[in-house]
Amino acid sequence: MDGATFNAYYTLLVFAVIIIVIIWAYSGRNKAKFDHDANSIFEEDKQVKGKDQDQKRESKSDE
Amino acid sequence: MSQTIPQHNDYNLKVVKQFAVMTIIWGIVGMAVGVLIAAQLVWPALNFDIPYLTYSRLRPLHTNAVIFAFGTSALFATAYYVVQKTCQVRLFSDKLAAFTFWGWQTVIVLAVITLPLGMTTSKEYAELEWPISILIAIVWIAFIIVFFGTLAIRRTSHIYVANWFYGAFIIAVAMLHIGNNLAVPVSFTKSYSIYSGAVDAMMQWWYGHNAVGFLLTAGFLGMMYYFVPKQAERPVYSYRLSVVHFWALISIYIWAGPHHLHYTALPDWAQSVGMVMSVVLFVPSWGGMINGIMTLSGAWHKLRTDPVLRFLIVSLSFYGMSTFEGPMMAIKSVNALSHYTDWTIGHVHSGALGWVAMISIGAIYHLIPVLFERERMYSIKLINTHFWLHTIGVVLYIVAMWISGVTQGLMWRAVNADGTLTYSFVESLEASYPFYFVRFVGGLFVVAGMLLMAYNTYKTIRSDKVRPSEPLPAAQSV
Repeated sequence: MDGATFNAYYTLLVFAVIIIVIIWAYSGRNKAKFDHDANSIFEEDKQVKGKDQDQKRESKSDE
Repeated sequence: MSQTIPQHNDYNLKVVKQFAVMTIIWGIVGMAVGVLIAAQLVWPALNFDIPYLTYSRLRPLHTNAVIFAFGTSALFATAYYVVQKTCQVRLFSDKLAAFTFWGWQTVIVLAVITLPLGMTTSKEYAELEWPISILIAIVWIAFIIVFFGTLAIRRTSHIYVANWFYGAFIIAVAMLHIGNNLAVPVSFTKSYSIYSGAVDAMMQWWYGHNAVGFLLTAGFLGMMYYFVPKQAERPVYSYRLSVVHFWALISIYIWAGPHHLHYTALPDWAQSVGMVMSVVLFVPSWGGMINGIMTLSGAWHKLRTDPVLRFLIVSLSFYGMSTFEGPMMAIKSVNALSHYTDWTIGHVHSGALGWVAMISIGAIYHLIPVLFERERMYSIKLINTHFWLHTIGVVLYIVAMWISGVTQGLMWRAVNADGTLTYSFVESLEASYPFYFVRFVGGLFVVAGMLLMAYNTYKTIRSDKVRPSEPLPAAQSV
């Protein structure tokens, strides 16, 4: 296979992969999961706050 | 409640603190060297006829210091922080993490020593000689182990999108660095690249542009996807768009390098591939920018009161500007005007000072109180002043370079009816001269802002206003 043919096939492959990723990302089935993932960075704060109301924890966490 | 730090997990924040503080220090050093060489272009006598202070030796010191000392320290700090927070687990290895910190600082100090001494491979952004290159590779492999090791032992089921960007950045930089720096050493301080001719040029810009794509873009997008939602206290506008953004960006970026070699000995087809891929890149870049900015949708008022958020959001505007400008400049007919002129320098700094520096500064302002368990930064007013100093500095810089660059491009290509050049080179230099002064003033603004940041950080760390029980700024307003 010469360079140009390889490039042509590669371009098609990348094109197909991106289409598949778009379909996967935007399919209705996955919406709830992605919404949950987007909120995952706030989960820990909620847990900590919840715990904090019950008891104060003492720890030196950064050493 | 002096020592009450209620945290869910026992994180390694020591290495994050170290890298965060060094980000500010190296930022000041790297940008100050930049201002010095900008001043040398206005007043050439400022090299004092000392070889170590000549423009040719300080320019690579400036680029290495801002990219690898300032920018990469910010990436280390935030990558180590974000991967721990989103995986809810301590770093994979404290010892290896400490090794990456001390190893990386050693690399930077060696750069500060060797570059003014004139030791260089002469490859742009890869000037450091082979012993330092090997040290970089070793530190980077340790970084890979710490980062991916932490992902492997995570306590969450999902890998948050910021980590995908950080992961791509870390792997791509290892591949680029090792690929481009393969060389034959002839002595301890001198080596020659194993590549030659057009292949060498292509390898160099495959490396060079992907250093922009993966270090200065993907890495900082990782930062964006964590710190923008965190500071805005709302999830990213569209997580699904972020997934598409990631895969589109990393599958296209790697092909854009040849646009640095338009109208050279590089085969025409390679130039065309580089041009097309660069133009296509506009789409995922703007997808990412819109995703970041729209995260604020419905909460725009926060920009009025929160200068940290303003740093983060304005960085995205500069990202949008430079990722529109970049694809345009990659088009061959535009490149015929812009290449080798100051327009390129303006473009680079709209990306570097606008996007990279502003998102890093915003992330570090977010992190400092969290890391050092302080209520907030010592002075919000000073952050605001920093924001305006930085913004005015960047705008002065890039506008000056645009005008100077387009002027140069037009003067260089102007021909008389008989085919001779209308202007001599020195006439174009004289036309650029006033703009070099404007650029110098812009640089002064930026460095002044960084000095304020250092003072503010120092006062924050020394203050005794310990953070109340909530561990994160997200909880401050509650």
